[in-house]
Amino acid sequence: MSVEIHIVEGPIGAEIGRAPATADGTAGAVLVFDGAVRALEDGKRLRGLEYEAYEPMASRELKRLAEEVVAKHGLIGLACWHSRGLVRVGGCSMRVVVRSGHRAAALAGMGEFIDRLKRDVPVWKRAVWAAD
Amino acid sequence: MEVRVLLFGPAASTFGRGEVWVRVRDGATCREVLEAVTGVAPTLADHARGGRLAVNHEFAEAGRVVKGGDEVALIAMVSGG
Repeated sequence: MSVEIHIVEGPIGAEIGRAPATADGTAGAVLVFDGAVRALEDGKRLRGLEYEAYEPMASRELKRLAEEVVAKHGLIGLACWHSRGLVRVGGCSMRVVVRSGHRAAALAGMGEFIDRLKRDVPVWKRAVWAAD
Repeated sequence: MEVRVLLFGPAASTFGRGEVWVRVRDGATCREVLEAVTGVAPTLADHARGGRLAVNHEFAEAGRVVKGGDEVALIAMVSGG
């Protein structure tokens, strides 16, 4: 199993984490989840979201969480990139790539990882309004 | 002893600073530090109630003793993703 965690400045580029993941033939399912910044929040227009991460705790908690989820669901691997700093509307602020032998485990693992990330990992976002 | 508690996100915005200092007895626990935070800064009560302390970058149990030199942070209302 493999776990990969990255906290990166600004938006996550389209190419990051999209290298062929099934070349060795072990993965029957590869899920890629992108969290994107919406244009509207409570009906108000955003310029973007400003992310703050308490490091190194954020990276450690992401790694601990990823290892737990990989072990629990028997995944081949989980990689996560999370932004800090400003991500403008339409930009990607989080990418999670899960590889598994079968789709059920990949889907369950992806859901649990994201749910727990939003509850336990010390990262915060602040709205930057278009009118500011 | 004096303990500095780091604040982030909505807690920092509410308090207007990224840290709050509290005075607690030597050998105080995380629970006592959290209570002291609310005493010094009542506006942080909701954050303290819904949050947890981290000590030296690890989530800490309420009964953990805080020592001088520990890095203490209030982790509340996280919103990553």
